[in-house]
Amino acid sequence: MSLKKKSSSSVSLGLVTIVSAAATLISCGGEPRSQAVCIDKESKVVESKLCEEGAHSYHSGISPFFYWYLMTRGGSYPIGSRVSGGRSFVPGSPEAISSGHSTISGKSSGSVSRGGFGSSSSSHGTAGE
Amino acid sequence: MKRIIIAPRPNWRQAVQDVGLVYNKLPNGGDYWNEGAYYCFSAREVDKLEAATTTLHKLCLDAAQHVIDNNRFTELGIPPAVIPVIKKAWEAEPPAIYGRFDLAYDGVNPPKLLEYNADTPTALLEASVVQWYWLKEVFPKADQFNSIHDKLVAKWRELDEYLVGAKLHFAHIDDLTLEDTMTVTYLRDTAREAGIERTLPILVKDIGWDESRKSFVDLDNEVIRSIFKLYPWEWLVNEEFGPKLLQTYEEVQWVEPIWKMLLSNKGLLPILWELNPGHPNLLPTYFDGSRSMQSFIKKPKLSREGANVEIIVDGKVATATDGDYGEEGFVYQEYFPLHGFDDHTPVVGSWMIDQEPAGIGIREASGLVTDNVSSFVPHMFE
Repeated sequence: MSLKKKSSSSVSLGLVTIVSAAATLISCGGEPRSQAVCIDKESKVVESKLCEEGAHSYHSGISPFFYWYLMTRGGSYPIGSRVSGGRSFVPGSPEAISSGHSTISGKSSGSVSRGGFGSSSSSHGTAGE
Repeated sequence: MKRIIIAPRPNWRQAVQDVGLVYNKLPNGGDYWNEGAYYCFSAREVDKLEAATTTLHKLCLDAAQHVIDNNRFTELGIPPAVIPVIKKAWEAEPPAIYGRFDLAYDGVNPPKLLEYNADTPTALLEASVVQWYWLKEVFPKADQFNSIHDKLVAKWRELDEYLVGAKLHFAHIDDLTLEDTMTVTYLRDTAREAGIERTLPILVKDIGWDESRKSFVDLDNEVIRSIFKLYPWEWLVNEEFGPKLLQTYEEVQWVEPIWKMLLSNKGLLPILWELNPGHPNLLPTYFDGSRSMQSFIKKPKLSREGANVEIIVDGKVATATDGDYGEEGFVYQEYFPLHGFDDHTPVVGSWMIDQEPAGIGIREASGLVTDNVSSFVPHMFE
Protein backbone atom coordinates (compact mmCIF):
# COMPACT_ATOMS: atom_id res chain seq x y z
CA MET A 1 0.00 0.00 0.00
CA SER A 2 1.33 3.43 -0.90
CA LEU A 3 1.71 6.11 1.70
CA LYS A 4 2.42 8.87 -0.74
CA LYS A 5 -0.54 10.87 -2.01
CA LYS A 6 -1.64 9.88 -5.48
CA SER A 7 -3.29 13.16 -6.41
CA SER A 8 -1.65 16.14 -8.08
CA SER A 9 -0.16 18.63 -5.66
CA SER A 10 -1.67 21.58 -7.50
CA VAL A 11 -3.55 22.15 -10.72
CA SER A 12 -3.19 25.60 -12.23
CA LEU A 13 -4.83 26.72 -15.43
CA GLY A 14 -4.25 29.66 -17.71
CA LEU A 15 -5.45 29.32 -21.27
CA VAL A 16 -8.19 26.88 -20.24
CA THR A 17 -9.81 29.56 -18.08
CA ILE A 18 -9.64 32.11 -20.86
CA VAL A 19 -11.08 29.82 -23.53
CA SER A 20 -13.81 28.67 -21.12
CA ALA A 21 -14.80 32.25 -20.45
CA ALA A 22 -14.82 33.00 -24.17
CA ALA A 23 -16.85 29.88 -24.96
CA THR A 24 -19.39 30.81 -22.31
CA LEU A 25 -19.73 34.30 -23.69
CA ILE A 26 -20.19 32.93 -27.17
CA SER A 27 -22.91 30.53 -26.13
CA CYS A 28 -24.71 33.26 -24.17
CA GLY A 29 -24.48 35.82 -26.96
CA GLY A 30 -25.34 33.31 -29.66
CA GLU A 31 -22.34 34.34 -31.71
CA PRO A 32 -20.42 31.58 -33.45
CA ARG A 33 -17.06 33.30 -33.06
CA SER A 34 -15.57 35.64 -30.51
CA GLN A 35 -13.76 38.72 -31.62
CA ALA A 36 -10.72 40.19 -29.99
CA VAL A 37 -9.98 43.91 -29.98
CA CYS A 38 -7.05 45.69 -28.43
CA ILE A 39 -7.89 48.12 -25.64
CA ASP A 40 -6.02 50.40 -23.28
CA LYS A 41 -6.37 50.70 -19.50
CA GLU A 42 -9.45 52.91 -19.94
CA SER A 43 -11.17 50.19 -22.02
CA LYS A 44 -10.78 52.28 -25.18
CA VAL A 45 -10.15 50.46 -28.44
CA VAL A 46 -6.65 51.10 -29.78
CA GLU A 47 -4.64 49.83 -32.73
CA SER A 48 -3.98 46.07 -32.62
CA LYS A 49 -0.24 46.55 -33.04
CA LEU A 50 -0.05 48.08 -29.54
CA CYS A 51 -1.29 44.78 -28.13
CA GLU A 52 1.15 42.82 -30.24
CA GLU A 53 4.00 44.93 -28.87
CA GLY A 54 2.46 44.74 -25.38
CA ALA A 55 2.52 40.99 -25.55
CA HIS A 56 6.24 41.16 -25.91
CA SER A 57 6.68 43.30 -22.80
CA TYR A 58 4.32 41.04 -20.86
CA HIS A 59 6.58 38.11 -21.49
CA SER A 60 9.52 40.15 -20.35
CA GLY A 61 7.81 40.54 -17.00
CA ILE A 62 6.57 44.12 -17.43
CA SER A 63 2.87 44.79 -16.84
CA PRO A 64 1.10 45.37 -20.12
CA PHE A 65 -0.53 48.69 -20.89
CA PHE A 66 -2.72 47.21 -23.57
CA TYR A 67 -4.97 44.18 -23.49
CA TRP A 68 -6.82 41.95 -25.85
CA TYR A 69 -10.49 42.00 -25.06
CA LEU A 70 -12.84 39.19 -26.09
CA MET A 71 -16.12 40.65 -27.28
CA THR A 72 -19.40 39.08 -26.28
CA ARG A 73 -21.06 39.83 -29.56
CA GLY A 74 -20.18 40.93 -33.05
CA GLY A 75 -20.31 44.50 -34.28
CA SER A 76 -17.74 47.08 -35.08
CA TYR A 77 -15.50 48.68 -32.50
CA PRO A 78 -13.76 51.68 -34.05
CA ILE A 79 -10.56 53.00 -32.52
CA GLY A 80 -11.41 55.29 -29.61
CA SER A 81 -14.71 53.63 -28.75
CA ARG A 82 -15.18 52.07 -25.34
CA VAL A 83 -15.90 48.39 -24.87
CA SER A 84 -18.19 46.87 -22.26
CA GLY A 85 -20.08 43.68 -21.62
CA GLY A 86 -17.21 41.28 -22.19
CA ARG A 87 -14.96 40.13 -19.43
CA SER A 88 -11.64 38.71 -20.53
CA PHE A 89 -8.52 40.79 -20.56
CA VAL A 90 -5.86 38.77 -22.21
CA PRO A 91 -2.24 39.66 -22.71
CA GLY A 92 -0.74 37.99 -25.75
CA SER A 93 -1.86 37.75 -29.33
CA PRO A 94 -5.40 36.62 -30.08
CA GLU A 95 -4.14 33.87 -32.36
CA ALA A 96 -2.34 32.38 -29.41
CA ILE A 97 -5.54 32.08 -27.39
CA SER A 98 -7.42 29.56 -29.45
CA SER A 99 -7.19 28.54 -33.06
CA GLY A 100 -10.87 27.68 -32.99
CA HIS A 101 -11.78 31.27 -32.26
CA SER A 102 -9.38 33.13 -34.43
CA THR A 103 -10.33 34.75 -37.69
CA ILE A 104 -6.85 34.92 -39.12
CA SER A 105 -6.14 33.61 -42.58
CA GLY A 106 -2.85 32.45 -44.00
CA LYS A 107 -0.44 34.88 -45.54
CA SER A 108 -0.43 34.41 -49.26
CA SER A 109 2.48 32.56 -50.72
CA GLY A 110 2.67 30.95 -54.12
CA SER A 111 4.13 27.64 -53.08
CA VAL A 112 1.92 26.94 -50.05
CA SER A 113 -1.17 24.78 -50.30
CA ARG A 114 -3.59 24.04 -47.48
CA GLY A 115 -6.44 21.70 -46.78
CA GLY A 116 -4.51 18.47 -47.33
CA PHE A 117 -5.29 17.42 -43.77
CA GLY A 118 -8.59 17.41 -41.96
CA SER A 119 -10.97 15.75 -44.42
CA SER A 120 -11.51 12.61 -42.33
CA SER A 121 -12.89 14.60 -39.44
CA SER A 122 -15.79 16.01 -41.45
CA SER A 123 -17.99 12.99 -40.81
CA HIS A 124 -17.09 12.89 -37.10
CA GLY A 125 -17.80 15.46 -34.41
CA THR A 126 -14.45 14.95 -32.76
CA ALA A 127 -11.03 13.46 -33.42
CA GLY A 128 -10.31 12.44 -29.85
CA GLU A 129 -11.76 9.35 -28.22
CA MET B 1 -15.12 -0.11 -5.15
CA LYS B 2 -18.54 1.35 -4.49
CA ARG B 3 -20.82 3.69 -6.35
CA ILE B 4 -22.19 6.19 -3.87
CA ILE B 5 -25.05 8.63 -4.45
CA ILE B 6 -24.37 12.16 -3.20
CA ALA B 7 -25.92 15.61 -3.58
CA PRO B 8 -24.11 17.60 -6.27
CA ARG B 9 -22.53 20.91 -5.27
CA PRO B 10 -25.21 23.61 -5.64
CA ASN B 11 -22.97 25.57 -8.02
CA TRP B 12 -21.55 22.53 -9.82
CA ARG B 13 -22.48 23.69 -13.30
CA GLN B 14 -20.53 26.92 -12.96
CA ALA B 15 -17.74 25.19 -11.04
CA VAL B 16 -16.98 22.66 -13.76
CA GLN B 17 -17.32 25.25 -16.51
CA ASP B 18 -14.86 27.58 -14.78
CA VAL B 19 -12.18 24.91 -14.98
CA GLY B 20 -12.77 24.16 -18.64
CA LEU B 21 -15.65 21.73 -18.93
CA VAL B 22 -17.57 23.71 -21.53
CA TYR B 23 -18.60 20.52 -23.34
CA ASN B 24 -20.98 19.29 -20.67
CA LYS B 25 -24.01 18.90 -22.93
CA LEU B 26 -24.44 15.40 -24.36
CA PRO B 27 -26.00 14.76 -27.78
CA ASN B 28 -29.07 13.35 -25.98
CA GLY B 29 -29.51 16.59 -24.00
CA GLY B 30 -28.21 15.16 -20.70
CA ASP B 31 -25.21 16.29 -18.69
CA TYR B 32 -21.82 14.72 -19.33
CA TRP B 33 -20.47 15.56 -15.88
CA ASN B 34 -22.33 13.67 -13.15
CA GLU B 35 -21.37 14.45 -9.59
CA GLY B 36 -24.67 13.10 -8.27
CA ALA B 37 -22.59 9.99 -7.62
CA TYR B 38 -18.96 9.10 -7.11
CA TYR B 39 -16.87 5.96 -6.99
CA CYS B 40 -15.09 5.17 -3.76
CA PHE B 41 -12.06 2.86 -3.91
CA SER B 42 -9.89 1.31 -1.25
CA ALA B 43 -6.15 2.02 -1.40
CA ARG B 44 -5.64 -1.63 -2.25
CA GLU B 45 -7.95 -1.40 -5.26
CA VAL B 46 -6.11 1.68 -6.48
CA ASP B 47 -2.81 -0.19 -6.16
CA LYS B 48 -4.31 -3.01 -8.22
CA LEU B 49 -5.36 -0.60 -10.97
CA GLU B 50 -1.95 1.03 -10.95
CA ALA B 51 -0.13 -2.30 -11.14
CA ALA B 52 -2.42 -3.56 -13.93
CA THR B 53 -1.74 -0.38 -15.92
CA THR B 54 2.02 -0.85 -15.59
CA THR B 55 1.69 -4.49 -16.66
CA LEU B 56 -0.52 -3.67 -19.64
CA HIS B 57 1.88 -0.97 -20.79
CA LYS B 58 4.68 -3.50 -20.85
CA LEU B 59 2.56 -6.14 -22.62
CA CYS B 60 1.58 -3.56 -25.26
CA LEU B 61 5.17 -2.54 -25.95
CA ASP B 62 6.13 -6.21 -26.25
CA ALA B 63 3.21 -6.78 -28.62
CA ALA B 64 4.28 -3.80 -30.74
CA GLN B 65 7.79 -5.24 -30.97
CA HIS B 66 6.25 -8.56 -31.98
CA VAL B 67 4.21 -6.90 -34.75
CA ILE B 68 7.39 -5.29 -36.10
CA ASP B 69 9.54 -8.43 -35.82
CA ASN B 70 6.90 -10.63 -37.45
CA ASN B 71 5.62 -8.13 -40.00
CA ARG B 72 2.00 -8.33 -38.87
CA PHE B 73 1.09 -4.81 -40.01
CA THR B 74 -1.59 -6.01 -42.44
CA GLU B 75 -3.60 -7.51 -39.58
CA LEU B 76 -3.70 -4.04 -38.04
CA GLY B 77 -4.83 -2.47 -41.31
CA ILE B 78 -1.63 -0.40 -41.60
CA PRO B 79 -0.86 0.62 -45.22
CA PRO B 80 2.46 -0.64 -46.67
CA ALA B 81 3.85 2.87 -47.24
CA VAL B 82 3.61 3.60 -43.52
CA ILE B 83 5.51 0.52 -42.34
CA PRO B 84 9.12 1.71 -42.87
CA VAL B 85 8.28 5.02 -41.20
CA ILE B 86 6.81 3.26 -38.16
CA LYS B 87 9.85 1.00 -37.94
CA LYS B 88 12.27 3.92 -37.99
CA ALA B 89 10.25 5.89 -35.45
CA TRP B 90 10.10 2.86 -33.16
CA GLU B 91 13.90 2.55 -33.30
CA ALA B 92 14.43 6.26 -32.66
CA GLU B 93 12.23 6.20 -29.52
CA PRO B 94 10.76 9.66 -30.01
CA PRO B 95 8.89 11.30 -27.14
CA ALA B 96 5.36 10.15 -26.38
CA ILE B 97 3.14 11.99 -23.95
CA TYR B 98 0.05 10.06 -23.12
CA GLY B 99 -2.39 7.18 -23.57
CA ARG B 100 -5.50 5.86 -21.88
CA PHE B 101 -6.27 2.21 -21.16
CA ASP B 102 -9.97 1.49 -20.88
CA LEU B 103 -10.41 -1.13 -18.20
CA ALA B 104 -13.33 -3.18 -16.98
CA TYR B 105 -13.02 -3.32 -13.20
CA ASP B 106 -15.48 -4.36 -10.51
CA GLY B 107 -13.27 -4.28 -7.43
CA VAL B 108 -13.31 -8.08 -7.29
CA ASN B 109 -11.79 -9.48 -10.47
CA PRO B 110 -8.47 -8.25 -11.85
CA PRO B 111 -8.84 -5.19 -14.12
CA LYS B 112 -9.40 -6.32 -17.73
CA LEU B 113 -8.22 -4.40 -20.76
CA LEU B 114 -11.08 -3.38 -23.07
CA GLU B 115 -8.95 -1.24 -25.37
CA TYR B 116 -6.03 1.15 -25.49
CA ASN B 117 -6.45 4.71 -26.75
CA ALA B 118 -2.79 5.42 -27.24
CA ASP B 119 -2.91 8.05 -29.97
CA THR B 120 -5.72 10.58 -29.44
CA PRO B 121 -7.23 10.05 -26.00
CA THR B 122 -9.60 12.66 -24.61
CA ALA B 123 -11.59 12.81 -21.33
CA LEU B 124 -8.27 14.20 -20.10
CA LEU B 125 -9.37 17.52 -18.63
CA GLU B 126 -12.21 15.92 -16.68
CA ALA B 127 -9.86 13.29 -15.22
CA SER B 128 -6.88 15.55 -14.56
CA VAL B 129 -8.58 18.81 -13.59
CA VAL B 130 -12.35 18.72 -13.08
CA GLN B 131 -12.48 15.77 -10.70
CA TRP B 132 -9.40 17.12 -8.87
CA TYR B 133 -11.21 20.40 -8.09
CA TRP B 134 -14.29 18.37 -7.11
CA LEU B 135 -12.19 16.36 -4.63
CA LYS B 136 -10.65 19.49 -3.11
CA GLU B 137 -14.10 20.96 -2.49
CA VAL B 138 -16.12 17.89 -1.56
CA PHE B 139 -13.60 15.56 0.12
CA PRO B 140 -10.58 17.77 0.87
CA LYS B 141 -9.02 15.17 3.14
CA ALA B 142 -9.45 12.20 0.81
CA ASP B 143 -7.05 11.12 -1.91
CA GLN B 144 -7.59 10.49 -5.62
CA PHE B 145 -5.68 8.33 -8.07
CA ASN B 146 -4.84 11.31 -10.21
CA SER B 147 -1.43 12.90 -10.57
CA ILE B 148 -2.04 13.39 -14.29
CA HIS B 149 -1.42 17.13 -14.14
CA ASP B 150 1.83 16.84 -12.18
CA LYS B 151 3.09 14.12 -14.51
CA LEU B 152 2.17 15.99 -17.68
CA VAL B 153 4.07 19.07 -16.50
CA ALA B 154 7.06 16.92 -15.55
CA LYS B 155 6.97 15.19 -18.95
CA TRP B 156 6.93 18.45 -20.91
CA ARG B 157 9.81 19.73 -18.81
CA GLU B 158 11.81 16.69 -19.80
CA LEU B 159 10.71 16.96 -23.42
CA ASP B 160 11.62 20.61 -23.84
CA GLU B 161 15.20 19.89 -24.84
CA TYR B 162 14.12 17.44 -27.57
CA LEU B 163 11.77 19.89 -29.21
CA VAL B 164 13.07 21.57 -32.33
CA GLY B 165 12.09 24.87 -33.93
CA ALA B 166 10.94 28.13 -32.45
CA LYS B 167 7.42 26.99 -31.64
CA LEU B 168 5.52 23.97 -30.44
CA HIS B 169 2.34 23.71 -32.47
CA PHE B 170 -0.81 22.09 -31.13
CA ALA B 171 -3.16 20.90 -33.86
CA HIS B 172 -6.80 20.01 -33.40
CA ILE B 173 -10.04 20.13 -35.33
CA ASP B 174 -12.56 22.96 -35.17
CA ASP B 175 -15.01 20.93 -33.12
CA LEU B 176 -18.38 22.45 -32.30
CA THR B 177 -18.51 20.86 -28.84
CA LEU B 178 -15.05 22.30 -28.01
CA GLU B 179 -14.04 18.98 -26.44
CA ASP B 180 -10.95 18.61 -28.62
CA THR B 181 -10.24 22.34 -28.49
CA MET B 182 -10.26 22.29 -24.68
CA THR B 183 -8.18 19.12 -24.48
CA VAL B 184 -5.48 20.75 -26.57
CA THR B 185 -5.80 24.06 -24.73
CA TYR B 186 -5.27 22.17 -21.47
CA LEU B 187 -2.22 20.37 -22.83
CA ARG B 188 -0.81 23.75 -23.83
CA ASP B 189 -1.35 24.94 -20.26
CA THR B 190 0.65 22.00 -18.94
CA ALA B 191 3.41 22.68 -21.48
CA ARG B 192 3.47 26.35 -20.51
CA GLU B 193 3.64 25.45 -16.83
CA ALA B 194 6.69 23.39 -17.71
CA GLY B 195 8.31 26.49 -19.17
CA ILE B 196 7.48 25.97 -22.86
CA GLU B 197 6.21 29.48 -23.67
CA ARG B 198 6.18 29.09 -27.42
CA THR B 199 2.99 27.06 -27.89
CA LEU B 200 0.73 27.90 -30.82
CA PRO B 201 -2.62 26.33 -31.70
CA ILE B 202 -3.47 25.46 -35.29
CA LEU B 203 -6.45 23.79 -36.87
CA VAL B 204 -5.57 20.56 -38.67
CA LYS B 205 -7.11 21.90 -41.89
CA ASP B 206 -4.92 25.03 -41.68
CA ILE B 207 -1.65 23.09 -41.79
CA GLY B 208 0.00 24.09 -45.05
CA TRP B 209 2.50 22.38 -47.31
CA ASP B 210 5.22 24.58 -48.78
CA GLU B 211 6.36 22.92 -51.98
CA SER B 212 9.44 25.12 -52.33
CA ARG B 213 10.71 24.34 -48.84
CA LYS B 214 9.27 20.78 -48.79
CA SER B 215 7.92 21.46 -45.34
CA PHE B 216 4.69 21.80 -43.43
CA VAL B 217 3.99 25.38 -42.44
CA ASP B 218 1.66 27.22 -40.06
CA LEU B 219 -0.61 30.15 -40.91
CA ASP B 220 2.34 32.55 -40.78
CA ASN B 221 4.11 30.26 -43.26
CA GLU B 222 6.64 29.37 -40.63
CA VAL B 223 7.98 25.84 -40.88
CA ILE B 224 6.44 23.44 -38.36
CA ARG B 225 9.21 21.56 -36.59
CA SER B 226 7.51 20.27 -33.45
CA ILE B 227 3.82 19.49 -33.32
CA PHE B 228 1.36 17.81 -31.00
CA LYS B 229 -1.73 16.64 -32.87
CA LEU B 230 -5.09 15.54 -31.54
CA TYR B 231 -5.87 13.79 -34.80
CA PRO B 232 -5.50 10.05 -35.43
CA TRP B 233 -2.54 8.77 -37.37
CA GLU B 234 -4.72 6.54 -39.54
CA TRP B 235 -6.50 9.67 -40.76
CA LEU B 236 -3.32 11.72 -41.31
CA VAL B 237 -1.56 9.09 -43.41
CA ASN B 238 -4.60 8.43 -45.57
CA GLU B 239 -5.34 12.06 -46.40
CA GLU B 240 -4.00 14.15 -49.29
CA PHE B 241 -0.89 15.33 -47.42
CA GLY B 242 -0.24 11.79 -46.11
CA PRO B 243 2.56 10.95 -48.59
CA LYS B 244 4.31 14.29 -47.84
CA LEU B 245 4.05 13.54 -44.13
CA LEU B 246 5.70 10.15 -44.61
CA GLN B 247 8.49 11.66 -46.74
CA THR B 248 9.31 14.32 -44.16
CA TYR B 249 8.50 12.41 -40.98
CA GLU B 250 12.03 12.50 -39.62
CA GLU B 251 12.33 16.26 -40.01
CA VAL B 252 9.41 16.98 -37.71
CA GLN B 253 8.93 16.08 -34.06
CA TRP B 254 5.41 14.61 -34.09
CA VAL B 255 3.71 14.00 -30.76
CA GLU B 256 2.26 11.40 -30.40
CA PRO B 257 4.79 9.56 -32.62
CA ILE B 258 3.60 7.50 -35.58
CA TRP B 259 4.42 4.17 -33.94
CA LYS B 260 1.38 4.73 -31.73
CA MET B 261 -0.53 3.32 -34.73
CA LEU B 262 0.57 -0.09 -33.48
CA LEU B 263 -1.03 0.42 -30.08
CA SER B 264 -4.10 2.50 -30.81
CA ASN B 265 -5.64 -0.25 -32.84
CA LYS B 266 -8.08 -2.88 -31.67
CA GLY B 267 -6.14 -5.38 -33.78
CA LEU B 268 -3.60 -5.28 -30.97
CA LEU B 269 -6.08 -7.04 -28.66
CA PRO B 270 -6.06 -10.48 -30.36
CA ILE B 271 -2.27 -10.25 -30.65
CA LEU B 272 -1.98 -9.51 -26.91
CA TRP B 273 -4.14 -12.55 -26.14
CA GLU B 274 -2.22 -14.75 -28.55
CA LEU B 275 1.09 -13.77 -26.90
CA ASN B 276 -0.24 -13.96 -23.33
CA PRO B 277 -3.06 -16.51 -23.30
CA GLY B 278 -4.96 -16.59 -20.02
CA HIS B 279 -3.36 -13.39 -18.70
CA PRO B 280 -5.51 -12.03 -15.81
CA ASN B 281 -5.60 -8.49 -17.24
CA LEU B 282 -6.65 -9.56 -20.73
CA LEU B 283 -9.88 -10.85 -22.23
CA PRO B 284 -9.90 -13.59 -24.88
CA THR B 285 -9.94 -11.79 -28.23
CA TYR B 286 -9.73 -13.16 -31.78
CA PHE B 287 -9.46 -11.95 -35.36
CA ASP B 288 -11.29 -14.81 -36.99
CA GLY B 289 -14.62 -14.88 -35.18
CA SER B 290 -16.20 -15.53 -31.81
CA ARG B 291 -15.00 -19.17 -31.69
CA SER B 292 -16.70 -20.81 -28.71
CA MET B 293 -17.60 -17.56 -26.90
CA GLN B 294 -21.32 -17.23 -26.16
CA SER B 295 -21.07 -13.62 -24.95
CA PHE B 296 -18.76 -11.33 -26.84
CA ILE B 297 -18.24 -7.89 -28.37
CA LYS B 298 -17.60 -7.49 -32.06
CA LYS B 299 -15.78 -4.23 -32.75
CA PRO B 300 -14.04 -2.71 -35.77
CA LYS B 301 -10.27 -2.46 -35.53
CA LEU B 302 -10.33 1.31 -35.87
CA SER B 303 -13.73 2.43 -34.63
CA ARG B 304 -14.06 5.41 -32.31
CA GLU B 305 -16.49 6.46 -29.58
CA GLY B 306 -18.16 3.06 -29.50
CA ALA B 307 -19.30 3.14 -33.15
CA ASN B 308 -20.23 -0.06 -35.06
CA VAL B 309 -20.04 -2.22 -31.96
CA GLU B 310 -22.20 -5.29 -31.47
CA ILE B 311 -22.63 -7.00 -28.11
CA ILE B 312 -23.79 -10.60 -28.11
CA VAL B 313 -24.94 -11.99 -24.77
CA ASP B 314 -25.71 -15.72 -24.54
CA GLY B 315 -25.80 -15.99 -28.30
CA LYS B 316 -28.26 -13.11 -28.80
CA VAL B 317 -27.60 -9.56 -29.98
CA ALA B 318 -28.01 -7.47 -26.83
CA THR B 319 -27.10 -4.15 -28.38
CA ALA B 320 -25.64 -2.77 -31.59
CA THR B 321 -24.46 0.75 -32.48
CA ASP B 322 -24.36 2.54 -35.85
CA GLY B 323 -21.41 4.11 -37.56
CA ASP B 324 -19.26 4.01 -40.65
CA TYR B 325 -16.37 1.82 -39.49
CA GLY B 326 -15.68 -1.83 -40.15
CA GLU B 327 -14.08 -1.86 -43.62
CA GLU B 328 -10.74 -2.51 -41.92
CA GLY B 329 -12.07 -5.71 -40.28
CA PHE B 330 -13.27 -6.67 -36.81
CA VAL B 331 -12.07 -8.25 -33.59
CA TYR B 332 -14.12 -10.47 -31.28
CA GLN B 333 -13.57 -9.90 -27.57
CA GLU B 334 -15.13 -11.81 -24.71
CA TYR B 335 -17.89 -9.85 -23.01
CA PHE B 336 -17.06 -9.00 -19.41
CA PRO B 337 -20.24 -8.14 -17.50
CA LEU B 338 -19.98 -5.54 -14.73
CA HIS B 339 -22.32 -6.10 -11.83
CA GLY B 340 -22.89 -4.32 -8.54
CA PHE B 341 -23.32 -0.77 -9.79
CA ASP B 342 -27.10 -0.77 -10.31
CA ASP B 343 -27.69 -0.25 -14.01
CA HIS B 344 -24.41 1.54 -14.55
CA THR B 345 -21.47 0.23 -16.53
CA PRO B 346 -18.32 2.00 -15.34
CA VAL B 347 -15.27 1.96 -17.57
CA VAL B 348 -12.06 2.97 -15.85
CA GLY B 349 -9.88 5.10 -18.10
CA SER B 350 -6.38 4.56 -16.74
CA TRP B 351 -3.86 7.13 -17.89
CA MET B 352 -0.27 6.51 -18.88
CA ILE B 353 1.85 9.65 -18.95
CA ASP B 354 4.88 8.54 -20.90
CA GLN B 355 5.98 5.34 -19.13
CA GLU B 356 4.10 5.83 -15.87
CA PRO B 357 0.55 5.16 -14.68
CA ALA B 358 -0.82 8.56 -13.65
CA GLY B 359 -4.43 8.19 -12.59
CA ILE B 360 -7.95 7.29 -13.59
CA GLY B 361 -11.18 8.82 -14.85
CA ILE B 362 -14.43 6.90 -14.85
CA ARG B 363 -17.04 7.10 -17.55
CA GLU B 364 -20.25 5.21 -17.21
CA ALA B 365 -22.89 4.19 -19.65
CA SER B 366 -26.43 3.44 -18.65
CA GLY B 367 -26.41 0.80 -21.39
CA LEU B 368 -23.66 -1.62 -22.36
CA VAL B 369 -21.49 0.46 -24.71
CA THR B 370 -19.34 3.38 -23.53
CA ASP B 371 -20.17 5.83 -26.30
CA ASN B 372 -20.48 9.56 -26.78
CA VAL B 373 -23.47 9.78 -24.43
CA SER B 374 -21.65 8.22 -21.49
CA SER B 375 -21.18 10.42 -18.44
CA PHE B 376 -18.11 11.14 -16.33
CA VAL B 377 -18.33 10.36 -12.62
CA PRO B 378 -15.60 11.51 -10.20
CA HIS B 379 -13.81 9.21 -7.77
CA MET B 380 -11.87 9.23 -4.51
CA PHE B 381 -10.14 6.71 -2.29
CA GLU B 382 -9.40 6.38 1.39
